[in-house]
Order: sequence, then structure tokens, then C-alpha cells
Amino acid sequence: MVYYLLRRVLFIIPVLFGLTLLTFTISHLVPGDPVMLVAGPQATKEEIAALAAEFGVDQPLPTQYVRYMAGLLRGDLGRSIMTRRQVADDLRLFFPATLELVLAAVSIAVLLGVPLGIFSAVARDRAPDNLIRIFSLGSISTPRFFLALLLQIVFGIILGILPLGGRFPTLQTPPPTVTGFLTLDAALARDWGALVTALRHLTLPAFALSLSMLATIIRMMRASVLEVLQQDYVLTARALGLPQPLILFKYVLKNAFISTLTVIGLYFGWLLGGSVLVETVFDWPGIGLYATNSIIALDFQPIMGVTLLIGIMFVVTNLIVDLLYGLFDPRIRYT
Amino acid sequence: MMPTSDHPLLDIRDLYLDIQVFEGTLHVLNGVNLRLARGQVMGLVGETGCGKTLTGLSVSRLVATPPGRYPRGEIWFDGRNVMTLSEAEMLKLRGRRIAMIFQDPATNLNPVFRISEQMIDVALHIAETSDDGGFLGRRLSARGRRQAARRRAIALLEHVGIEDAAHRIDGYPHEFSGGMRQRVLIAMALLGQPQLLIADEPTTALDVSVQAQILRLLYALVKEYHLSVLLITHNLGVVAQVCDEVAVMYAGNVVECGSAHRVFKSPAHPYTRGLLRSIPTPQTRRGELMGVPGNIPNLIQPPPGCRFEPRCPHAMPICRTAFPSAVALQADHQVACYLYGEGRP
Amino acid sequence: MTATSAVTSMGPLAHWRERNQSRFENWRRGFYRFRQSTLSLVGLGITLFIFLVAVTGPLWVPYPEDAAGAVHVKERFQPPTLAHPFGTDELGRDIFTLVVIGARVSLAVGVIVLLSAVTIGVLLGAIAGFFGGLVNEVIMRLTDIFLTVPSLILAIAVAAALGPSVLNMMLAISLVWWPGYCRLVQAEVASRKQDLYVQAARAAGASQRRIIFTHILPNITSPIIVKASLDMGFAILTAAALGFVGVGARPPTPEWGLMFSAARSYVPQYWWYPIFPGLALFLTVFGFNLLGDGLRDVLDPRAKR
Repeated sequence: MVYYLLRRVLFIIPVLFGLTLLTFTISHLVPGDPVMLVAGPQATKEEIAALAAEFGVDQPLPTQYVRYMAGLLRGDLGRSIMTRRQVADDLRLFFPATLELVLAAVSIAVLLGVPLGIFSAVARDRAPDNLIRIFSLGSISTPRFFLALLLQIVFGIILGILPLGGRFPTLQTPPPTVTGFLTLDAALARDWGALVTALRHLTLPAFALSLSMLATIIRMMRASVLEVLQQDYVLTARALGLPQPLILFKYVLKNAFISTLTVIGLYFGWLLGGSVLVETVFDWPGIGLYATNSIIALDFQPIMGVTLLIGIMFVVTNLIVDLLYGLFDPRIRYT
Repeated sequence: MMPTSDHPLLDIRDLYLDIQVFEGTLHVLNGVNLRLARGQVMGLVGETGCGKTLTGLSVSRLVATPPGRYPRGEIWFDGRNVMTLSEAEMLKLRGRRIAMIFQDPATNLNPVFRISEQMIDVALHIAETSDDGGFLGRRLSARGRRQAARRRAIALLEHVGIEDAAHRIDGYPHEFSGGMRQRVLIAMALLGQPQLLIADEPTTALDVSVQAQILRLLYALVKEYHLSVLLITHNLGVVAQVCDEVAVMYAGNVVECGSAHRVFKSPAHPYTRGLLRSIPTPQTRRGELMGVPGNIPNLIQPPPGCRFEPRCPHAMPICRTAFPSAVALQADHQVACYLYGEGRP
Repeated sequence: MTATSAVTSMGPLAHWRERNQSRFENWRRGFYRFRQSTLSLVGLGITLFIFLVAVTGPLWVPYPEDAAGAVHVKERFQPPTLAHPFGTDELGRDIFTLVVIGARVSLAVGVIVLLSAVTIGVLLGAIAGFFGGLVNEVIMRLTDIFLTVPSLILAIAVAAALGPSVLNMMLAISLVWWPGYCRLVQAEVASRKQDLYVQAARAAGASQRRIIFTHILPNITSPIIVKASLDMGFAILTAAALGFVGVGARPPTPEWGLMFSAARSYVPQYWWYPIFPGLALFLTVFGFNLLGDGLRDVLDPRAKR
């Protein structure tokens, strides 16, 4: 087990190394010049040269990369040319917001998707199943930004029951930061008003983000439940008189959930990336919005920082999923 | 009808079953008749695909409908026609009165749950559906019930020959060998002290040496618990070893039945004779026994009369008209063939 | 009747049919299942409809000049009427015309992205799977790295680096889309390589290239087609997302994501502006997903219904 973990963690290092190389190459292929953008059209040659020197972009690319990596090993992600702030500080500020959003979306997708998938499998080819299938295919097909806007119009404007965007009203005092998750912080501070406010702001973006994952989980669960229902051990359980709900929600569920786990792991990473669109529509101050702004400004350091962070999260999630397999399936041995 | 011990425990009367598949409708059971007395072991034999397994599953009402459909027939179990029972009533029969074990012990235990978990659930369910609370009585707390169920499961595991059961019960199925898994499944089937055990090819997937052990175990348990057993197999050797009675099935019909001794000694139906002539060798393919040339007929458009007629060495014109009704050759020996009785030329 | 006489009594076509009977049977079953599924047929219908609209659109749209960037300030923000069934935008352009012409952009992007991604992925995957060893390690580790970053973020980064244009957008999406195919093909080829028929071809002295192209690839087309048909919708969605973020198509190209992004700030007053491009996008992707789902049931023998 320890050996397995060690090997997996060691395996992550070359992948992340390759990732830095990849993002570095991409972000330096840029035809435009971010320094010019920041310095503005009136800047003199000397001013531009000074700025370039300040950020080290006057050096040849390999030197820049070595410098960047050296900084990375010290935990220094570099500075944003646009905001002139440390990227690490920015990430510390924005990442919890995205993580909170993604975790909420994943929870919604799992908690709704698993039972709906089972239901769809049991009602196979009858009206509820067809409805659920159309719904799930439809949700996968809906662009996230379109869905986000529709939710805003319906719940924010027509019904007026949920806020249109943002994470917390600027005029209200947020709970003291402990975890960076507003909902959790509010609960820790026993500030129930703030908790409700935070939840109300979280609801629409989380739903908008979760829908495609929800649909995928429904489809995965449906397929694997149908497969598990064909297994001999289900027949044995029925032949020995176990009632259908027990068979379904205990025995079949665990077997079917194992294959759905992979999807959950993969989606976790995808949602970190996909949150870009939802964050844009809902004005959610997370790394997605931060990354988009940086990308449009051709600001390398934040782009690299965000990509690396998401890459790490993705790899770590997959490791966790692989470990969870062992928890669910006793046949798996980590060697 | 009142349940009395004079009646056979299981009485299948004129059972038909159709199954809808992509190609059309399979007429898999074609008027099955079968009687099994209390405490008797009946071997149900025939080639692969002749409807043995579906007959067994029908008794527990485990054939999915649709795609299955029962156009006609009755299955009387202990004085009640299970074809008319609701699913809730069937739940009270399954596991408690009628238990089943299946061919491949490797796939019949859920791989991701401990043996203890699976057995305790079965035991608790049986106790819940018993009117008197079953072996648990009514007094215990939820935790007490689980502990009692566990003790009972351990006792049964030991009884079927699993050593150190108190410890091994917390293992997972993959930690057991094939023969041991089949023992676990037998113990699970016995949890409810059933009257009828339907054993579908229980030894086929096992090593030859283990097969004999499992058969001996089954035989001992039958005597001990006064069980009736419907032993579904294509292995005539198995039938000869443990069965009191035998029913031979062909393409959805019971073509011959009677005491095992009688049927083996003087087989009447041409199909039975063919089966007994065929000693399986490594060259024998599944579904084609040496003594009976040809294959099971197409069940979508089966032969109109006797379904064995296309393969029968004694086929006559009358065989194509209608399925022959059973004729009693002796008190304990019946055959459905035009070679006997009034159809005789 | 002996087997030889049976063969000689048949014509060559009948003989061929006889030999390929199991394959025909599979196709027939597949086609039957596809027809049985109303949803798949609806998907096919939607997809054909969108293609038809995209191809013939320029011939019949009411205001072709609007798609080229004409401005009619006086007619800005007209609600849907007979003259403008989907209303007009902030420059007075007819949204119906823009949405119809937009189908051309989206479909072109989807088709070209998939063609290039499949080509790159299949080639690299086949090479990696067939030769194994160091070649395999290098290609597959590269694939891993690409798969580690969410494709949307990577595509946005590449598109931003290349500069916004439809061509660059296609390049960016193709560049992040191939690893999925690469992994699929690599796994299939690596396992097929062990199959008897490939061993036999090799023993008979067939060249490596010949083995890959005539013996292995034709046998793994089904999973590739299934994946591609399911991916088509997502490629279109990704293109729209890039347009939405502002690193894809540039105005005045009538791209749905871009239109939606421009329209967003005029909600709720001018609701029709974002709704129609959004709906068009949804319908197209939905059609491809229904179709892909149906194709998977037919072509992928492992798919459970």
C-alpha cells in the first residue's frame, strides 16, 4: 500500500514537469507582447525595457523557464504583469471560491444522479426512463453559459428568488475566513444569516455547473445498474427472498457505483476547467474568471499557475479515486 | 385446496412459457407436467436449452415478465398455486420455503460484500417474513437480531463443512475456493429451513473431486432436513448417485418421468434411451449427445407435434399431429410418446 | 448434398453473402435496433436538418448582407416579427440570418476539428500501440500530460496564444482533442497485435505498415466512429465556449458562442438576442448526441442497452 502510494506520487512528478513545459511553450508562443500592453501606447523604449527587465521577459526563453522552475521549487509562482501581485496570493484568494463551487456541483450531481440513474434502469424503456434519458442527453447538450443565463432569467429575474450573481454582497460583512469556503466559514462562525446568503448565491452557479455531470452520472449509473442486474448474484439474492429495494439500494448500488467512481474523478477535473464559463456568467470570483482575464491579457504567470494548480488537483483526484476503489472493491490489491 | 401432506409438495401442471426475443417468440415451455413428493430428490435432466432452468426459475417466479409470458399452466407448491401469488407473497416463499442454488459459485456471491453481510441479510429477511419472527423470535433489539443472525449463519457454515467459520465468515467471496463458495451458497439456501431446494447444475462448474464432496453434502442435508430437491443437471451420473426420481425434459416438455431406478433400468422414450446410450467423452460437444443425433429444434417455430420427432429414430406420421399425452407404464413410470398407449400402431 | 456442390451451385454474390452472413446479421440487427429507437431517429433528423440549413442557408436567408457585417442602426433591438423572426441585435442585424449562417461555422469547426483530431490521434496511437517500447512510452506520456489539463482551459490558452480567429480556434481545439483517440487506438492496437490474425499476417511476411493499415485499423473503426459521433457535439460546444470567452471567432463572424456572449449584457430587456443562438447551439449538439448515442448502441457490441 505504502509502496503503491509512493510509486503513484513519484509518477505524478514527470507529468507535472511535462505540464509546466507544455504550458510554458504555449503561453510563450504568443504573437502579442504583454509588456507593451501594460506599458501602454505612450511608453518610451526605456520604460518598456525596464518593465521587461523587471519581469525577466528580456531573457531568452530557456533562461526564463529555468528561472520559473527554480521559483516554483521555492513555492514562488511568479508575479502577474497585469496586477503586479504574486500569483500564489491570487490563487489563494480565488481558488477556494472555485473549489467550493465545484464541490457543491459534484455533490448535487452525485446525490441526484445516483438515485435517478437507478430509477431509470429499473423503469427501463418505460416512460420515466425515456424522460430521464431525454433530460440527461438534453443537459449534456446544453451549453453551460446558456444554461447559466436561463437559470438567471428564470430564478433571478422572473421569479426573483435567487441572486443574479456574485458570491457575497459587498455591503454585508462576510464571516471570518477560516477555510476559504464561505458556507463553511459562516457555519463555523455560527452566522446563520451569512450561511443562508452564501448558499443562496451558491445555488444557481452550482446547478449550472453540475448539470452535465449529473447527466453523465445518470447515464453511467443506468448502464451499470442494468449490467449488474444481469449478474448471477442478483438472481441468487432474489431467489433467497431478499426484497427488491434491499437488493437495489444495497447490493446493486455498491457494485454499480464502482464504475461510476471513475467518472466522478474525471469530472472533478473537468469542472475545475468548465467553471470558467459559469464563473463568467455569474460573476463568481474564482480561478476560472481569473484565468480568463489573464489569458485575454496574455499574462503568462497566472495562466501557468492556474494550469498547474488544476493539473495537480486533477492528478490528485484520480489518485484518491483509485484509492477509493480499494474501499469499495475488496478484490483490488495495491501492489 | 387445503394443504395436506397427501399432496405432492410441488405439482407443475401443463406449464407453458413464451419468451419474446429479437427473432420472434420462443415457445420454451410446452406444457410441462411434474410432481415432486416431500423428502424426495428428483433429477431434472436433458440437453442444454431444453427448459430445465426455466422450469426451476418458474417455480420461484423468477422469470422476468416481460420478456417472458405464461399463457397457461399452474404451479402448485404446498397446496398453493404460485402463479396466482403476488410478489409480496412470493417474497415470503423465496428463501424461506423454496431456496435455490445455481451453477457457478464464483458468480453467485456478490464480490464486494463480506459473506457475513450477505448471509445476515438473508437470515434477517427470513425472520421478518416469518409470522412468528422465525428463529429470532420477537424480543430482540436490532443489534441483538443481527448477532443472532450471525450466530446462525456461522453454525450453518460449520454444518456444511467450512472450518473456522466464525472467522472466515467475515471474508470476501474471492478468498474462498470454488467448492467452498458452493458450500457457502448451500448454507445460505438452508438459512430459512426451506422445504424445497432447487439446485440448478450445482456441481457443473466444479472440479470432479469437489463435485463428489458437494453431492455427498447435499445428500446428507436432504436426509437430515427432510428436504425435497429438484436437481437440475445434464449429468446422468449425478442423477444415478443421488436421485429418487427422474424427469427427462426435451425442448420444453417432460417426455418421461418416474422412479430413477425404473427409468434407468427400462427407459421407454426414444430420447431417454438415446441419453442413456450416450456416455459423454471429450469429443462430445455441448447440446449434442452421441446417442441422439441432431440438435434441439428451433423454438420459434417448433415441430407441430412431438418436438422430438425430427430426431426420433421411430418417428411415425402421427408424431407430427399433436404432442402425445403421458401414458403410465407403471405406477411410478410415465412416458409421453406415441409408441405407447392408444397411439401405438 | 455435399458442401462442394452447395458452393458451386451458388453465384459468386450469393457465395459472398454466405461467407459474410454473420456480419450481415450483425448489421441487420444493428439497423433494426437503430430504427427501433425513436430517439436515434430524431437525432438523425435533427442532424440532417442542420446540415441542410448550413449548406443551403446562404441561398435563402432574408438578409444575407447582415452576416457579412452590415449595420442598420435604425432597426436595432427589434423584437421577433414576421420581417425578423428572431428579432434584431444591437447593430440592427437580423438574428435569424445570423443564426442560420452560424450553423455553417459551427458545423465546419466540428467536422474539421474531429477530422484532424482523429487523424493525429489514430496515427500516434497506432504507432505507439504497434511498436511499443520507448516510442510507446514517449507518445503515451505526452498523451497523459494533455489529458491532465482540462481541455477547455488548454484550448482557451492555445487559442489566446495564437490570436482569435476561426482557423486558430479549430487548430487549438484539434490540438487538445487528439489524446482521447490516441489512447483509444493505442489500447486497441496493443491488444489486437496479440490476436491470431495479426500474428498470421506477420508470419506470412506482411510489412509493418501493411499490418497496421490493412489488418488492424479496419477492425477498430467502430469504436472510433462511436467516439467521434459522441464527440462532435462536444467539439461544437467547445468552439462556442471559446467564442463566448472571446478567444474564438471575431466579430462580425456569425458564430453562436460569440453572438451569445455579446447578447448576454442585453438581458432581460432584449431576451430574444441570446435565446436564439443558444437554442440553435443546443439543438445542434442535442441532435449529434442523440445520433451518437444511437450509433453506439448499434456499432459498439460491448454497449449495454
